[in-house]
Amino acid sequence: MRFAASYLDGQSARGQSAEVEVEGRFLSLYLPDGGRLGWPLGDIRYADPPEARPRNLRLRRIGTDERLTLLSAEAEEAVRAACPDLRGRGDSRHGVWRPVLLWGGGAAVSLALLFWFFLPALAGALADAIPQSLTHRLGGRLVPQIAQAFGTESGGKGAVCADSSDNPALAALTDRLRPPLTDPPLLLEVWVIRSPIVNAVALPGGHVIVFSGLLDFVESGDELAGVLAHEIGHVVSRHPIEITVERAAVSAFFGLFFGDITGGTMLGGLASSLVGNAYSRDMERQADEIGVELMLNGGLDPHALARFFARLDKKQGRQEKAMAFFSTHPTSAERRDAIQAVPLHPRPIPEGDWKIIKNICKK
Amino acid sequence: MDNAVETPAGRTPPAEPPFVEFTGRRGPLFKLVLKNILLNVVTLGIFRFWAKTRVRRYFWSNIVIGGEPLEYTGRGLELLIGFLIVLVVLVPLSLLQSGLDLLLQSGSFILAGAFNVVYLAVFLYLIQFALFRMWRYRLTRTQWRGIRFGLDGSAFRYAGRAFLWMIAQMATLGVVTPWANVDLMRYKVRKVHFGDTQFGLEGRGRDLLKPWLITMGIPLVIGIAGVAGMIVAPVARSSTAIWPLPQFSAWGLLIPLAGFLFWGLWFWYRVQEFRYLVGCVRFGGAEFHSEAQLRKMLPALLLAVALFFVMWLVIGGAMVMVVYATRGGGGLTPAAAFVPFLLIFVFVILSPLVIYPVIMFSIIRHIWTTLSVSDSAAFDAAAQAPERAPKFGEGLADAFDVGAF
Repeated sequence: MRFAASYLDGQSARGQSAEVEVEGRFLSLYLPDGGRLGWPLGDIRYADPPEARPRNLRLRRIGTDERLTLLSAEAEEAVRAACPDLRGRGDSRHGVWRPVLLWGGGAAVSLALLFWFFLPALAGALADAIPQSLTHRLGGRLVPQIAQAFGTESGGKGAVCADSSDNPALAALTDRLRPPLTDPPLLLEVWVIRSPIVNAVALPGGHVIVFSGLLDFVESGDELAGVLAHEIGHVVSRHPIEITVERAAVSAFFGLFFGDITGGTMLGGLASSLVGNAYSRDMERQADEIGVELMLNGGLDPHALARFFARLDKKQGRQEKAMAFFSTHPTSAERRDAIQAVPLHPRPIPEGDWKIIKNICKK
Repeated sequence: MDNAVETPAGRTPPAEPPFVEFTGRRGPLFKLVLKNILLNVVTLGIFRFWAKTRVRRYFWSNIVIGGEPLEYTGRGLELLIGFLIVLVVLVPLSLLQSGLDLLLQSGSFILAGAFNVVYLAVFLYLIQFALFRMWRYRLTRTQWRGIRFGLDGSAFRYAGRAFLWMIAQMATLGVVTPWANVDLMRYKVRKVHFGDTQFGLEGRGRDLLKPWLITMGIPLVIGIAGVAGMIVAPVARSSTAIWPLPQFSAWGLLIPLAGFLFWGLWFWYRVQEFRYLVGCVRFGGAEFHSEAQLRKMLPALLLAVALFFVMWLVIGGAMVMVVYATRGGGGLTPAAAFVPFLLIFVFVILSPLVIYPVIMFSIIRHIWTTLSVSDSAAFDAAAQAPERAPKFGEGLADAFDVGAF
């Protein structure tokens, strides 16, 4: 049975009337000029998406610009019954994934260059360009945030127990580990935050946070000095600002990639990730080297540093890496071997000072 | 008389449907947008290229011209590739910028300033470039009666032209705007083809001078009156003092008023300009005519403005809360400070539910249903032209977030 239809040949915008009929595996189109076309039934698709509401059913043949409009409900029924794949995939365009791989690879190279070459350079340039006092002030703003997120308040006292600017014992220890011969002197501020976490963190701007769990864990003032020296090693090597810049770039990139327009996720990610340590093994080694030098310079035995990390490793082994923060640190054997020297003129930390610091959060 | 008798009373003979119709309904679009949002969230936003494609297909296929709907043949994958290309090009470019900026800042202040001006110029140029590429992509992905549209011409040249006009507008404080807009539209429209037939545009900037002078002039006069009033009648007159700001006289209120008035008039001018430009378009022997009215689009536009304000309110509120939390006030924990970010996130994610089915729907429907063509037979003569379409999507435009949808 033939049905009335209207046919567009994909070459001219002028439509022509046609008659269509399902014949075998083809939909035959009979044109007014006597021509006859056969559309394979499997190549026929709806021309309009399901959300459209055309007055009449429109069809297209894949791989062509031809269109066919059916003008009666009977015709629609016949075509729907005969065509197996009306909702199927459109034109198969070969090699469509090639450019995705090509440009995706290009994007990856572009990003690799960014993170391995450009960002470290940018961080260095930033650290040089921004005055120390400004980064110190900016870094200081993070301290209360970290105290609120990770510290615990106790008996009406805040989570921040002490800070080297108002605790003479802490100040004395900090001063002893301050790198010599820098002009202007390196701004350093050591904070103690009440928290069971066994860790210390260096922030941009020369702020070092010691969680009180670390004070409970260390066995001597020298061990605490070792951890501090290590963190100051990070500060001297400008690692905190380097990872800050890197993280900002990472979040900016993810913002672009995932189409984030508010920057909300970016800011959020930045704030939360600042706390987590993610130094590379090289950075840790560098911090160790400087830490050892600082300890020798301050008359302290650098073996305390190795001892501390060895004990920490053992504890972590038992606790199944409950403290994953230190996971990028070199192994304790490596550390022990790296430390050869002992101070020429040992000046132990005064027993009184060490007691004060050890109990700083217990007052 | 006899003819009149033959037609039963109260019935008119079936009228020919208008040449341009819009057949869309809000319901299916709402569902479509909702589905897109869910998929966007699940895929962390990567689905947006396909989401855009679906929304476009919805609008295109519901614009029915002479009984035949437009077809959008673009694909999400093409937009993704365009985006990847931009990632390759734009990332190193922005790196170069920030690197040079840092180097120059540590050097000379003037040099750094000059560099930033150059960078801004490049950025503005790239936006125009991206816009032209975007139009080309969309036109080459549009078919009607099986025939493809297209856009010839060079995106570089267009961007250069647009950039020069931008400088002229700055230099003349905006007076040349009608000439700029007509000239750029002429450049674009004359490069558009349907099949093998070019469109044309016959327009002159001075025809739009009157509405533009009204748009600029009235707020300008009011603003100047405000400034003059504040100078002539300062503080002293207690009768004209405003309570919260006693140091300013009430004349000062005229300045923000002028600002809002300009905003409103600007919408009005855009509609005038649109109608004028549509009237200038030629295709073969056909002329076009638009009856678009600001009044009819006002609810949608006001909703858009409201949405804009609410968004900035939410963002501003979030910032205040974060500052409050970082100062440790009010027992706000950092965790609580993430609530506003969550709020912004939810707001941004859900806003398409209003933008597409309500705002865009109304405006697109109004614009297309008020469009008419003098000689619809003119299109019959067009024949398919060989394909010269860009292979990939509108990456730059996506990155700069230009283009309404």
